[in-house]
Amino acid sequence: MRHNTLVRYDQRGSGLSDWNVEDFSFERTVRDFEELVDAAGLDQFAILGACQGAAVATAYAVKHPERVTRLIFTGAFANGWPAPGDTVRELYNALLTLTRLGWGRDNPAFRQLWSTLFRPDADSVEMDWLNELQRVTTSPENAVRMMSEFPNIKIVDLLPKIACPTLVMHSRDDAAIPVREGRMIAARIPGARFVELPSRCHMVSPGDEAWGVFVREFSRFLSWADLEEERALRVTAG
Amino acid sequence: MPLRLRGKVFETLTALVANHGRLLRKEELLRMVWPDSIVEENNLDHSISHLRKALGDTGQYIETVPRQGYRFIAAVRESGQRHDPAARADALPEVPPQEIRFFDAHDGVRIAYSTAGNGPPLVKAANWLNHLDFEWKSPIWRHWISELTRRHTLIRYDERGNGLSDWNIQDFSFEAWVRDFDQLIDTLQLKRFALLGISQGGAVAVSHAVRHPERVSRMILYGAYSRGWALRNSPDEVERRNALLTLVRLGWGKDNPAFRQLWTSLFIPDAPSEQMDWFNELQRVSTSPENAVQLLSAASRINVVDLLPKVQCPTLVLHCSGDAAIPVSEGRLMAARIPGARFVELPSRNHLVMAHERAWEIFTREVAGFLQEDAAQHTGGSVGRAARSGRKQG
Repeated sequence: MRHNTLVRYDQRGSGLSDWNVEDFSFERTVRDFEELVDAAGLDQFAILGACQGAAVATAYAVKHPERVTRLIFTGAFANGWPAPGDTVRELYNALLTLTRLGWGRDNPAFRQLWSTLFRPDADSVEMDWLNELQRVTTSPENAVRMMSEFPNIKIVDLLPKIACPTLVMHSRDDAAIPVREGRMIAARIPGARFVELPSRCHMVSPGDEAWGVFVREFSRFLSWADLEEERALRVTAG
Repeated sequence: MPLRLRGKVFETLTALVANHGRLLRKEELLRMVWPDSIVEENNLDHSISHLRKALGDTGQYIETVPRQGYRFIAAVRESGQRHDPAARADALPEVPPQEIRFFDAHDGVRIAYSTAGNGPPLVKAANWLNHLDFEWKSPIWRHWISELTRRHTLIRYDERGNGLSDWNIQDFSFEAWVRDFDQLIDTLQLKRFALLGISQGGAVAVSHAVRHPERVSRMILYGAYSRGWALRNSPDEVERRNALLTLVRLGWGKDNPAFRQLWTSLFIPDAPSEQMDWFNELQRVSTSPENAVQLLSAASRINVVDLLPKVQCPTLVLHCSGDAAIPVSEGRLMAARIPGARFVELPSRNHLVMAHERAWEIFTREVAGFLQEDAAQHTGGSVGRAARSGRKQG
């Protein structure tokens, strides 16, 4: 974030936020977001929404149009994940069952299946890191409860109500969430721009071929170039 | 400074260095490093990335030519000592040559079997994921083969749908497995033999031993079970197994080893990574995802519990205490129901014991002792009844 202040938070039930949580509902996570904005004392801001974060961003932006300047989505879904009839649904169900039954808790093989679903092109070092990330960010019980909420996250009807400029990016060969989902989202948001990333990964990261595209589009959309020019002028003026 | 590299990583380096300065296409490299099998490109990518990490390579050693292959670009100097690349194989225990032949099963399915070693026959009932040839070179099985051929002629075969036997088959039933076993014995014209049943092979062994008590001199059951997971009264296990079946069906054959690694960790959680790689690969070469699902489903319905009390031969049951593939309680059940069976619990979490484990020492000692008793009786028999009956105690 070269020209912005980045504000992030850990979803309830994970990371540094409380793990001992009753309510994992989508509505609750949207309220968390509202409370975050208040707590951070933010007035106007852009939102980056990745995966289920895009749905939270959508719900918030529709409710508080005066606050949200821009939306950027990557790997978003709007009709639940996995969507009805999605080929990944079977895999998702099987993985969820194994997570629930606690199989492989002290064994990375099973977490690696999630890792490869989301980042098939990761090298072995990154895979190890992703496997470990899953272990430290949350408990199997919380993972199941969070993931069980995903199929219920349906915000298709909200998309046409988004009033701010929106950039929708999606990996062309995303194995977790098909790219057609990203296209559908972009088609329903008035004036949204769609960028297809040349990748198999649900999330692109530095080192991926698609990362350059992601950063270029992202910075262009947030007018980093303008900001840089402005700063240069200011420096000149000063 | 010497570097420790795993087998395939080392072979990748050897291939690159031997061709230094030349662009090696990915297909070429795959052929050089995995000459006996067809593997996916990501195995090579993994090897290269491990190699880079080990060498601390930031581009000074291995050049990537995008979408084509790799080139070793650093200067290469040959040292005085030459290492035979086959020298690594010396680390594996020695095994005698095996002879592979085929017979046609009752329904025309071609079954591959192998004989190796000298001495009285020891027949191993097929277990899940066999591949006669691949096993011979594999650190997962080689110590087994080496040990079991020491004083016996070891006879193995690939189950229908597996390894070198026909893959394109209709009948995956337990009854067909039993019939295949009977037919193997007929083909070999064996009059009397010791029998080894591992995993699902245990139930096949029991079935044969009960129907042909005159043929089976003694029986060793290892990691075996008499009832499949669908019959173990555990709803959790059924749900878990069904989820695993879905994963096998969806992903096993894909160029994504994560699916197969799942199975590997279930079978050999405490194996070194090279052994894990071998087991991942064994799954891919030994059967198709469709066959794997059929075989696993058939195994889930195995039920020979009622046959156990009818076993007449001396039986030794061994089972690893932490076996996650087949719970040790299933081994205990077999030992409890087979008249006079002896039970040995092995200290391991692996379904297949590895050569470096203490459990392997115990296994070899117990099995050698058990088979020795057989040899003693055998010799007695062949020397003549009169000599034996002349003694007070037999």
